[in-house]
Parts: sequence; structure tokens; C-alpha cells
Amino acid sequence: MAAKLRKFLRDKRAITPVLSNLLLMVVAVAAMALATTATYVITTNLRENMSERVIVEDLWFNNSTGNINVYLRNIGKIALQVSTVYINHTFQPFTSPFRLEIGAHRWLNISYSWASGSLYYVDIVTSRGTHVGGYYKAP
Amino acid sequence: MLEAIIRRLRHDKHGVSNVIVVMLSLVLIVIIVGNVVLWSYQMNQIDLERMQETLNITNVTRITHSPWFTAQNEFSIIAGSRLSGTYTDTKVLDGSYETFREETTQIFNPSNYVISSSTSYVSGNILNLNSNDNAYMNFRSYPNYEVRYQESLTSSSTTSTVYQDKVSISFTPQITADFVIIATAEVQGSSRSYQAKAQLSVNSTAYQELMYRVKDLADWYPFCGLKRLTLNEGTNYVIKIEFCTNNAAETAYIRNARLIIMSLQSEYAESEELSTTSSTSWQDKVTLAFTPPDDGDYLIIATANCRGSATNRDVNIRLVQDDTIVHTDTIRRPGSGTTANYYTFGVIRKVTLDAALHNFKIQYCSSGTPGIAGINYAHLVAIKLSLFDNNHYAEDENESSPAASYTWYDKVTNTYTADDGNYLIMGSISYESGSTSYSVGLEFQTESASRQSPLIEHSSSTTYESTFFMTRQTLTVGSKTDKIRWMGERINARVKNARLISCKLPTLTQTAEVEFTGTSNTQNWTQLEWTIDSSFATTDVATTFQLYNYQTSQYPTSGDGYMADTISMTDVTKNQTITNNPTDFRDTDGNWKIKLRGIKATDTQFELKVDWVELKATTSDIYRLSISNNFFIDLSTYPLSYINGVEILISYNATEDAEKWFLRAYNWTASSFNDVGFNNTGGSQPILNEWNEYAINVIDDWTDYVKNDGTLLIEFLDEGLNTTQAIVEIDFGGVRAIIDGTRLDLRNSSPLTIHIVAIWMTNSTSHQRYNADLFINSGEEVTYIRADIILPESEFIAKVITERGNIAVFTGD
Repeated sequence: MAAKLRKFLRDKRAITPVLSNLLLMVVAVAAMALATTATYVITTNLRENMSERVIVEDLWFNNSTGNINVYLRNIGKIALQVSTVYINHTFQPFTSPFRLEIGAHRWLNISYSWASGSLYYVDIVTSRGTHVGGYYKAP
Repeated sequence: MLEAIIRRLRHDKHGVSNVIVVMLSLVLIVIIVGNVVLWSYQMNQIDLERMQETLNITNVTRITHSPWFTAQNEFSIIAGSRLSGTYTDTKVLDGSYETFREETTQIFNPSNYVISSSTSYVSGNILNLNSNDNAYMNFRSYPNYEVRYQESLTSSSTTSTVYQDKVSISFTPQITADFVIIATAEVQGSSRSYQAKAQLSVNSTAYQELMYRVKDLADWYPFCGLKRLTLNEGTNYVIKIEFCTNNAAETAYIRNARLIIMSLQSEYAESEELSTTSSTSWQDKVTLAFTPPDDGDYLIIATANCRGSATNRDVNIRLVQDDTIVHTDTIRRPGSGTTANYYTFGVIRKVTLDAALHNFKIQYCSSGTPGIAGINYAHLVAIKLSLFDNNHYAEDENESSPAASYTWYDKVTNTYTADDGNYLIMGSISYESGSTSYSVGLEFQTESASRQSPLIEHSSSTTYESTFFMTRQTLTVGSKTDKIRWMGERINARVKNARLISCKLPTLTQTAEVEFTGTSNTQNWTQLEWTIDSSFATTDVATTFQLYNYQTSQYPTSGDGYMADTISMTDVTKNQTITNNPTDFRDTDGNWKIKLRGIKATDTQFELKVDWVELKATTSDIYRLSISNNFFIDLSTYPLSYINGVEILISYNATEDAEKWFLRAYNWTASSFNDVGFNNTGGSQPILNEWNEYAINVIDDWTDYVKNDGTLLIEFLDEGLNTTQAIVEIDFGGVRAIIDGTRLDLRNSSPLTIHIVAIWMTNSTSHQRYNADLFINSGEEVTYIRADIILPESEFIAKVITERGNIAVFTGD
């Protein structure tokens, strides 16, 4: 045992390979940690985007208020927030913030003066970019 | 092989970092696969299922009735008998039927109950008494009276200026009642400069307060307390005798403290605020006026606390009855401290009263001018002595003087023969020390034992005070002697108005008593059989059962209409058949009543459990049929708030057409069967040899007939005219709810089970969403009825929303 120790201490060539190996390991770990974190963040966003589902249960051209009321239900696997509402591709004000937890449902009130008999393209966009809506003809 | 690999690793300097890179790459792959690929697969699965889901609304219509709800149990027979079939034969109009026959016996159960005195209702309803089925009406017993007693006889001391407990009773009454509270004690002080204080309090409110500046440090000055209070059932009260000093430099002492509370019926008056007068004429402080219901002996107890304004003027107090002195003048001259001192006035006396108005008064005045007499906490109570099991009284009203000083003399002796039991023993006396330097001693004895022994030195030789004594003793059978003895430290001491009474406290009992009433008929009964099945939640309760005799206008105490037994915790069925004048036990309208009473000598409340009460009358000529059954409306589908009425239908075939048949429903509010609010109360006249459908609509007051759980109790009965025996076949019996709802016919054409979560009903003016919770199996067609959805009159669109997000649409008009 003592002989081995003496031999190790006398071996001047060992320091450089050890240092180089250690340095290589540190660089490899750091690079992979960065890659792992970036991958986690990117894939989590992807997963959330994939999880979002929302339906329009009902759309009401409300005579009494003159507005358009949309009843939305979150059928996805993640809470969502409506960020923008377009009617005929034009941004329209609505009751904001409008957040729906998983399985939640309620009216989204859009301030828009609709005209009877007209056709409207209603597009509701969530904060993650999901679109829901379609063409609706006012009664 | 392994050695070769290890050797190679040793030589390969890049191996470690390669391993790390490979492992971390694997982690990356796992994250990507887990977060993206698997999740994408799951969401695709959801989308695929959603696409596969196919739901159709085949029809949407308005409905005005629920389906028929039919019998779930066998019919109860009130009169008549069952020949064949079962209740299941009455569920469908299909020609299979249940057959009943009229009989001359008829069964009557109670329709109401009246709890007597302080018996309290616990649980159950009157319908539980219809059969011997272990479904009970429960009632809780009440005490004849309640009593609590505490004493603390040894001397206690304090230098506190805050009241300290001497005797305390923590008490929660079983029933709300007026409680008489009596307290006695003796107090002493260690300084002539300060006061020893004592008070009677209930929940920290004082009702009698003594503030006594000691005249002689050896004195034990008497404290008397009296109060009547209404104490409420279930509320905790703390009744106390407390004591303290008015200055921490003095030590206050108290001994022979006794406190009793009892809810014996009494007459009472009080005036607790401080009243003062400078008049030397008698002033009324408190007046007790009452008229005894009959002639009898009463125990009068009076207390007050008095004060004077000057050390050369007296406060005079007396007790009068109908302007005649019952207890002569008590004269108190205040010592040092004058108005700060409040002295004791305590009196008892037995009086005999006739059934006329009587007035008892505590009066007071000043002995001279200028002088202000003050009095507070004046209480007067009269307890009828017949309320006690027995009482023994002795009095000596004459004034006595001692032949020698420091010699004890008997003033009054009460000798009597006692029974086993608790006795309330009280005494009272007027006393005068006759000296401002020497005391007068008193001793209240029962069975030769000293119970109280005050020693008082007065501030004036003319002071003549009154006090009472009290103790509760458990006596055994035999001769007993109670005494008030006295002694003067000088021969000018005096005593008079000495009284003693010993009252045996009533044995504590608990009573549960309830009266059941019912209706029957006015036909000619040839026999009456009455039955009661009951038990108690305790053992050995002496129980009587009485059927009211309307001929003698009383409940029988023997013979027909009377049964008695000792009943414990097991149900006992008591039954009696009356063949001699059975119609005496109903009135001209057919009403009857039964009284059930259980008594036990205990102070613990118990419950009476009544399982079955029945009268079975046999008539000589009239054949009757009366059957009843419960029908249950499904309130989960047809909530009460969406029901507009109920419809009752029976399909029957009778072999006689001489009488009509009737439907009645049990009115849960009125606790009886009736037909108020029925669209047809005239009955159904049967046509022979064909099925007669008898339908009733109840639109008004229908809620009285539907219990909160949806139960309707329906009775089907004859008119009561048949002298020939009829047989009745019942093919169908049922009830249904009258609603204004919506019926949706749905079909699931997909290979998946569909969960409906919402229904939309929209028209030009309204978009209404209704929550739903309905599962439809693959390939299944269902009818979904919603009582809460009112179908629009005009064109409408009905939409059904599934949990997966699909929408089925139906347009109707």
C-alpha cells in the first residue's frame, strides 16, 4: 500500500489527464443541463398547447342587450384564458379577463352591435393561440 | 470477459464523459417522449373519441304528467280483509288484480296526540302507531319537581374584597319551572371597623346581600336568603352563597352555610330595589296577594335587608297578613357605619288560609324623626304545605326572659314521628341581646345536633331582630325532636316568635303521559278491542292505559277501559276486549281517546316508546273496507318546486253497487285523511262487472298531501252503507305528479357511452342552459324527463351538450 502511494506521488504525468477529464465532465454536464432545461420548457409549452380544448355551447345575438353572448366550455386538460375576440376579423372588446378552469363554463359577453340577418365570423382566441368560433347568422 | 471490459474502461480516458452524455441524452428523450409524444397520443385519443360520439335528439315534447308511481309495499287494511293477490298486481293495468273483501270489523288508529303536563315529544309521528313494527313515537318524561341541596358547615375565612364561594350549586333544570331558593349562614368579622359581607347569587347576580359591621368579634351574625326564579330547561345555572370583607385589613368568616333550590309550586312577590322612608308610619315594601284554590296550610317565608341612617334611630320591619300582624316588629338600630350596613330580616310562619283573596306584606318605617329607614331585597313566598308529603309544626310566640345568664333554654320544641326520607327543616325566632355589651345566643337543633348557632350583640338594648334557620336532613322512621334553644349573656336578653317546621320533601318521580285521539264511526258496535304496544328506555315503569268513557265522562280506573302493567325496556302489547256497551268509549261523532301514563320513582328522565295504538270495532250489520298504501313520487326527477299538483287513479271492480267508493289522502299538516282540494269529493259509483276507473286531481293544497320525501299516503274506502258483503278487485292504483316539463328522446348511435352535461332550450327571446347529468350507453335510446324545463310555446331549438364537447340539436315548434 505504501509502495503504491509512493509511486503515485512520484508520477508527475498524472495531473494533466485528470484535470482534462474533470474539465470535460463539467462542460458535458453543464451543456446537457442547459439542453435538458430548454427541452423541458419547450415541450411543456407544447404539451399545454396540445391540451387546450374549448367549445362554443351557444351563441346568442341578444336582442335585449344588443350584444353577442357566447357560452364557452373548457373541455380540455388545462385552464385557459380568452385573450382576443375577433368578429369578422376585427378585434372586439369583451368581458375581460375571461378565464375558464378545467370543465368550467360561462357566458362571454362581446360588445358588438350586430344587425339582423347579417353573417358574422366569430373567432375567439385563447392566450395559447387556440381558436374557436365560426360563422353565425344573426336572426 | 468482465476483466477485459474493466481493463478497456481503464484505458479509455473518454469513457466517463461519454456515459454522462448518453445518460443525459436519454433523459432528454424521456422528457420529449413524455411531454410531447405521449400527451399528443392522449389528446388525439380524446379527439378521436369526440369524433366517434354520435348523439341524436329524436324528439322534444312537452309533458304534463310524470309516469305513474305505484305501490311499493302491501296495502294496510284498516277495515276488511285481503282475499288474494298482492300489491304487485296493482302496478299495471293488465287484468291481474288484488282482491279485498268487506268485513264487519274496522280498525282505527290515532290521528293526533296531546302531551300532558311537561312530557315532551322526542321523535316519530302518529303514523308510526299504525302497526306493531318497531317504528315508535318517543316522548320524554318530566319530574314531579326538582330539588338540589348543598351545605358547607365548617368555618371559612377570607381577606378578599371580592366575593368568594362558600356554597355553590351548578344546576341544569330538566324542565322550565319556578324555583324557590333558600339560603342560610352565619358570618363573623375580625374588626369592628369593617364589614363582613355575604350574598345569595344566581349566575353572579345578587338577590340578597348582608353587610354587617361587627359589634362583637365573637359574634356570628345570621344571614338569610330567599328568591324565586324561573329557571329554563336545559340552561345551566350556578347558585351560590358567597362572602367577603369590605377591607382587606379585616378577615371575614362564614360557617353553617346551607343552600336549597326546589321547584315546588309557590306564590311569590318581591321588591329588590332600595326603598327608604323617614316616616314613622308603616310603609308597604312588598305585597303578595293571591287566592288559594282551596282551604289549606301555607308556609310563609319572608326576607329583606334593612339599614338605618343614624345610630339613634331604628329601622322597623314587620310581616302582616290581611292587615293583621303575623310577625311583630323587628327593630334594628344601625351600628357604626350606619347606611353602609345592611342587616338581616328573616321570618317563617305557618298560616291557614281559606279560598279567598289574601294579602301578605312586608312593611317598614323609621322609629323616629329625623331618621331614614332603608330596605332592599324584600322577598315573600307562600308554599302550600300539602305539596310536601307531610309536615309538622310548632311555635311559641310569647316573649321569654332567662332566669340566669349563660344558661341555655329551650324556646320551642317540635316533636313528631318521621318517615324515611329527606326533610326540609326550618325555624325562625326574634331575639334581643338587651345589652350593647353582651350577646344573645341561639341554637337550631335537629335530633339533638346543632345545625346553626348565631351569637349576636346588638348596638342598642331595644334592638329586636328576626332570623330563620334551614337544613335538609335525611330522616329514618321514628320519633324526632327539633328545637330552637337560646341563651343570654345577661338576663335582659329576650326571645319571642319562635317557630319550627319539618316538611318531608316529596319523593322524586318521573312521569311520561300522552293522550292519543282518533276518529271512528257511529255504527252499532258489538265489540271493541283496544291494543297498545309500548316500552320505556328504562326498567320497571308503572304504566296505566285508559280508554276514555264518554258515558261516565272520565277515564276508567278499573274494569273496561283500564289496563295497568309494569313495563321495562322490552315492548309489551296490552290488549282488552270490551263487549259490554263498547259504544260508551266513543262520542256521538265517533271520536275516542286513550291515555298512556308511565311513572317511576327516579330523578333521571326516561323515554316512553309507543309502537302501536289500535281500536278494532266490530259492527253487527255494516260491512266495511278501507285500505291504504304509501306512494312515492321520485323527487330527484320531479322536484317539489316543479310539481303543480298530483293525480290519483284507482281501477277497481266491486261486486256491489249499492254504495260509493272514495279516495282520500293523508294530510301531513292536519295529520288526518281528508279530501280537501280534490276535484271530486263525491266518490265513485261503481258499475257492476266492469273495471271502474276513479281518478282524482289535486291542484289546490296538494303540498299538504306530499311529504318532503315525496310520500303520499292514499286511502281507498267504501261509503259504509253495505249490509251485504262486497268483494273488491283492484287492478291498478297509482299517483303521478302534474308538471309542466319537457321530455327529450335521445339516441346514442356511437360505440361509446355518452355523458350529457347540459341542455339548452333557446328561442328568439331566451337562451337557457340547464345542467344535466345523464349517461347513455352505446346504442341506447332513452327518454329524459325534466320537470324544471318549460318548453317554449313558439319555435325553439333544443341542444344537448356532451361531456366530450359534442352538441346534438333539435328544432321544434
